[in-house]
Amino acid sequence: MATNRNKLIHAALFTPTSNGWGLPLLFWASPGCGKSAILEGVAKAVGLPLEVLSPGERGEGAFGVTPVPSADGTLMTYPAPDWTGNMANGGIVFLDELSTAPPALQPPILGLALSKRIGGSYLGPRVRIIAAANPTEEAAGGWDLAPPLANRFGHLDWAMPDSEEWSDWLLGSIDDEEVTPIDALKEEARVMAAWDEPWAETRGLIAAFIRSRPELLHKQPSLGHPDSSRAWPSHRTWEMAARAYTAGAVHGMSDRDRDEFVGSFIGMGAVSELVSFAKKNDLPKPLDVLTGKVDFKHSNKRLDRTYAVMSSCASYVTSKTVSEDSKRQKELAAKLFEIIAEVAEEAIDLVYPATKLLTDTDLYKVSPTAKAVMRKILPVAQKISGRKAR
Amino acid sequence: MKISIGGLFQALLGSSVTVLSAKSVDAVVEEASDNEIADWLGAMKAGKPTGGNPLNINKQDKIVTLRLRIGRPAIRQLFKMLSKSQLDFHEEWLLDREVDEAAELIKADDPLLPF
Repeated sequence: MATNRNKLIHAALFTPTSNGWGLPLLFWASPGCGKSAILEGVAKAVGLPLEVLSPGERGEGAFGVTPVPSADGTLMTYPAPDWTGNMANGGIVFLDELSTAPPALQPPILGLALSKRIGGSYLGPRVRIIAAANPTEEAAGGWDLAPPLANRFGHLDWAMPDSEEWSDWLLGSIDDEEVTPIDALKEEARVMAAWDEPWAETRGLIAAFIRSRPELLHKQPSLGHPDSSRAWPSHRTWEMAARAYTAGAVHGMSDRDRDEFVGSFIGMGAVSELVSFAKKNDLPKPLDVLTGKVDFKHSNKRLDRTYAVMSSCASYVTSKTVSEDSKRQKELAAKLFEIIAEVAEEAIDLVYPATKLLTDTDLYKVSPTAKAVMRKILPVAQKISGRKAR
Repeated sequence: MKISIGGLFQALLGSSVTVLSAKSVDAVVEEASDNEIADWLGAMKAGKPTGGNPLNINKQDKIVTLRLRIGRPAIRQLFKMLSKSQLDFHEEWLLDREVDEAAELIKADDPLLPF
């Protein structure tokens, strides 16, 4: 159980996002099960400072929302809390007992959870956010999490160790918890080197899935429903889920662990459907398609698969890794345009997203075939543009 | 030897222009002045492409055929200066224009992948 949990924490800490490192996770656990101690162990292992913030214990000042008059008394300022000074080179902010945050404190926690902002300050790309909450009925002075706050975290249940596990721990590692140290900077470099292809693959997969199940893009439980304080699909959580899915491949997680990680953002119902969609479509890796290792053939009976393959290939061709070698990027783009041209003969609307990615990166003139696709797609682009102008 | 684009455009006011591609046009300048002919002859002898690279100079009839390597903004400027009857378009240019028009519309569209 602990191994699984530690893997999830590691993957969350070492997942790149649009504003730096770390997917925010929220562990639901009963009091006294050792969350803080384990987080301290994780922080120590990766050599990052840990700041434990408990709304009930530290109060508003620690969240940068206490106004202070300026020296001349003409302005109110919101100084950064003292602990932010320890986070200059990265760190882990552990928001403990989040369910003790009163409604008035939840808005500033929103900014901290997702944007890593506190008061007016950005904590930096290497700061990660992890949180824990006691179920509302068990929290002292507990509050339900407002849906916007809940929707900024991946939600996982922190299982209590059973009597056997606890006894083993008491007799074994109570004084010497086994911690394998790793170099956080090296781990970040490893993840970035391995990221682009699975990320492209995931983007294609999830874009195709959402296209086939649009009602799952945003499915907020009704207010007051217990699930509104937990994981549910939204535009935001789908992005986090996509990163979690990619992290599963990059961190070598088992399918089960990966699904739990992904489901922590969008809920297990949505992840079950996603996994079943991925299995059914058996998507090839983008690089295998682009280099001809896999002979991809479009079928009119499997439009979602075609959409996913083209989107993932386009995402890969325009990725940072590939764009570092301009000649190779153009070769791969030319190959992708050959596939796009074939699909465009039968389903022109299907090729639009992939063509858009290539066009946005100025790869639309890499070959005569590319130009032919662009000319063919012109009426579609005119139609879309006209529709938006109305 | 350097002939400015502005000078060239003045020369092209009375000429017929064929747009070959997004980056090149052929122009036939009739009644070229002696100075223009001297400039372009000099450029040809020096073997240097200038703002306009002369393909042929007929000194007797004062007709100069030029190939211009100019960018899209300059071509747009030409369109403003010349009447429609002076312009002709090569097929390649027309095709390229469709490609660029598609790209312009597609780029202006919102991203389609959800992230």
